[in-house]
Parts: sequence; structure tokens; C-alpha cells
Amino acid sequence: MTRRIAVTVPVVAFLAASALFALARSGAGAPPSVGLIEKEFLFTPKDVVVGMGGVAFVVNNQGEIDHNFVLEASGGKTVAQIDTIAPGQTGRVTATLPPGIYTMYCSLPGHREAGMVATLRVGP
Amino acid sequence: MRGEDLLDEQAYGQARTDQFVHAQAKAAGVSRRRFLEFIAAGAGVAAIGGLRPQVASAQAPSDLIVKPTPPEFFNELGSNREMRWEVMYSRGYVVPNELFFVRNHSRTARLDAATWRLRVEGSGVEEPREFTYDEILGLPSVSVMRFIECAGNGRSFFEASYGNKAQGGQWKLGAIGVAEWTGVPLREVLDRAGLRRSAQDVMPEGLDELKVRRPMPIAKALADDTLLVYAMNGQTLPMDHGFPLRVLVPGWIGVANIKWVGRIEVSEQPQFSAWNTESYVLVGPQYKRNPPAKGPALSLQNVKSAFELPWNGEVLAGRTLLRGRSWSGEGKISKVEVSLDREITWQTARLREPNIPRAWVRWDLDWDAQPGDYSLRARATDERGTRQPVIVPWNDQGYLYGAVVKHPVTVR
Ligand SMILES: [Cu+2]
Repeated sequence: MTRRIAVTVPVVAFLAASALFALARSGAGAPPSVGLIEKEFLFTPKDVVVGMGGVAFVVNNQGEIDHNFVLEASGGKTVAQIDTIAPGQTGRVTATLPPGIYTMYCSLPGHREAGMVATLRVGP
Repeated sequence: MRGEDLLDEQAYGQARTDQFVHAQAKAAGVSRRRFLEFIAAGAGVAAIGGLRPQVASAQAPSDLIVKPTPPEFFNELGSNREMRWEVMYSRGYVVPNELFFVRNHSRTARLDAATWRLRVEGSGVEEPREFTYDEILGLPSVSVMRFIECAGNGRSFFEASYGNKAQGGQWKLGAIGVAEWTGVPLREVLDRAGLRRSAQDVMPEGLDELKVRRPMPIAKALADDTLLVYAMNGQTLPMDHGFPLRVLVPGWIGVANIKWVGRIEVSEQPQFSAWNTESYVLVGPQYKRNPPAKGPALSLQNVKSAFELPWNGEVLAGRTLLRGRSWSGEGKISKVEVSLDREITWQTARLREPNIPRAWVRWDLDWDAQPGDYSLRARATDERGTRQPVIVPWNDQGYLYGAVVKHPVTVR
């Protein structure tokens, strides 16, 4: 667990600073991964860009209460989700994404409105 | 002490109180010098501050809960604290503030009564307006004994019945408490904002980070005991319980009793929030979708019972008095039965006064406890004839587990 977070955090810190590209090859053939931090009540980074195809989402709850993760296409369809991520835990989900603009958020009541939302742009 | 006339009732009473408070302070490890400072400071506050509550600022704002929640009083469930039922065995009718369960959707809001305002607005009122804390305190007020219970109280028992966990905090039965709530009937405040006859829904909203809000129909909002509460068990409402003002919606699920209320929207239309469409709705094979809600929205709590015993704890063999409490969102409890032999036989428990509707009733039963492992059962029937069932239908979010609970104890 600790090791996984150690890998994720620098990527996210970099993303937070640049608010841009989130590509970290975890090995030959593995999909690029997007690292996200959830906290009360924020998503970091707020804006992520990836290439089309398979993407692995690595979502780390650094807050003190439960959160979850929903990836929604622009039409409102849920394309990936992680049910509950307890404080200190990391959730993972993989999705194959065509180009477009997606929304990532926590679907617990009020969390999205309070700031737990981010944009994912999938380029061609 | 010697110089005082202890035959004078008032002097005697004061002397006894001082002795008692000093003994309490000493027991708590406070020196005589600190005690005298404490008394002096307290007297000063009482004289200068009058009734205005002081806002504590020593707590780090990141703490989820302000009050101490030691493990001998509470089970920790993430950001929530469940009351341990055994602590009620030696207590009276109400749950003292320091033992009262805490269910927060985010963290306890830290508000200053001096700058706090209550805004009442929406299409259902003629004259939207604001109230200050002092204005609220100056309105007619009443005191009532009622329970507040989380809709998810008992959620962990869905797993015992169905083999998988329902979503949410795995409460046993300690997400309930009864207190004496003092406050202004919500009606008084709505009237002063020019409530329209066409008003349909009333939605209080909290000043917490998530702005938790949930509507109730106008009929419930106008009930005599639906209150805006500023005192709990004779004390200023504690921060964790909604200081400076919370809503009391008797019999309804906990989330309706909005804490840290700062705004009330009164509408001529039905109102919706995530707390009556996404959560606090019944979702499961037996329940239909109810757009825009995922399922029927919850309102009243159901009938439940709990023993004042540790969970999976020990009882000494011999004659003992088994105690517990039962409650219902629909009214008074009329009967409580207890089974000591896994529902082969049931005995009627003695109900002890007071038996207040939408609070609870205390009950007891003599038990000549023989060594062994037991699975105790209690089932209550309320005044409408609703008796706790053997099983309740599944719902994904694990609300309203009202079936008879199997309470494990070992007699040694
Ligand atoms: Cu969240």
C-alpha cells in the first residue's frame, strides 16, 4: 500500500502543478495510469489529459472520511467507477476511452458540489 | 463552612453544591487552586456573558468531532461515533450530551453565534428575512423529550441476515439518543417570514461543508414539536450536535434533523436534494424507482429495541435485572417481550415510566442467569400495533433495520 502511494503522489504533484498530462507507463503493455487524490472536499488534479485507449485510474483517499470515484462521459453515462474508498486506501479501475471530455467525481451526496470533481480530456 | 447557618435552606444548598462540585473536580484531578480559578472564571462568565454561549476555538479545525469520544463510551465508525449501550445501564431517561452518538456527513462545523444568521426564503414565504441568534432566543420556546436516530442504525445486522454488507457505516444499535430539546417551534419562525397558504415543502440547510439539506412537507414543519433547537439537556447545544441551531423533526430519520442550520427554503413546489434522491431512499429488489429519487424516500423511523448490555460481553451468573429500551417513530411503545432461549419462549418485560411517544421507554426483566452463551432477543410493539418482525427486506444502503436483533452475551 505505502509503496503504491509513493509512486502515485509525485505523479499527482506534478499534475497538480502543470494541470496537464498524466502519463506514467507502469510497464510494457500496461495502460497509462492517471493518479488522483481525494480529500475533503477536493480532487487533485482538477484537469487531466490522456491519449485515447486504455487508462488505469489510481485513486487515493487522503481524507478522513469515505469517498468514491465515478467517471462519466459527456452524455452522462457512467463508464467506470470505484464504489467506496476508505480513508488512506487506494482504489483502481481501468477503462477504454474514446476521445472526448469526461467528468470524474465523487458521487456521495454533496461531495461533487463541495469540490470533488475534475475534468478528463481524452485526446485522439 | 462553620460560620454558615446550615439550617437556612439556601445556604445549606449552596454549601452542599460547593462540596459536591469540589469533590467532582478533585476526582477529575483538578487541584484546589485550579478549582478556585475555575469557580471564579465561571462566575465571571455568568455575570458578564449572560446567556451568550462562548465559541470554543481551541480545537484544530481539521478534527472531525469536537467533543472527547473515549472508547469506553463510543465505538468509532469512521467520522461517526456510536454510543455503547452498556453505558446506559446506570443512567436515567435521557442520554447525557457527552455520551450522545455523533453522525456527521463531513466534520463538525465551527460557528460563531455572534455572526451566525438564519435566512428564511423561497416561493413559500411573503417576506424572506433573517434572524440573529438573539432574535431566535427571544421567540416563544418549548422543551420536548424526543429521540434522534440515524436512519442507518442497525445497518450491520443486514449482513447477519443476508450475508453481505449494506453500504454505509456498520452501526449496531447505538446510533440513537433521547434528549430534552429546547427551542422555537419552526412554525413561529415560518409565520414571521409570512408563510403562504400555498407553501408545500420546507427544506432546512446546514452550514457544514456539504450544506446538508433535506425537505419535509409543510404539515410536518408546522407540527407543535418540530423545533429549531438551541439547547440540549439543559445546556447550550454542543457544536457536534449543531450549535448554534439545529432542526428537530420528531420521529423522522436522523438526517432530517439538520445541524448547524443557516437557511430554510420554503417552496410552493416539491423539493429535492441528494439526501432524498440519492441517499436516504430505499433501493433494492422490493422497492421501485421513484424519479427523481432512486427509490422511496425515508421519513419515519421504525420500531426497535436494545439491551443495556455490552455487545458480546459478559454477565455475572445469578439473579440480575436485564434492562433495555424500545422506541418507535410512530408513537409510544405498548409492549416489550424478551426471549432468553432463542425465541422458544417470550416473557413480557415491565415498562418503566416515563413512556414518551417518539422518545423511548425503559424496560426490565428479572433473570436468574445460569452460565452459558446466550443470544438475547427483545421485540417491541408500538401503540399502532406494529411489532418488530423476524426479518426486514434488503435495501442497498441498509436503512431501517427494524427486525429483532440477536444480542450475544456470555454468563459466567
Ligand atoms: Cu467524496
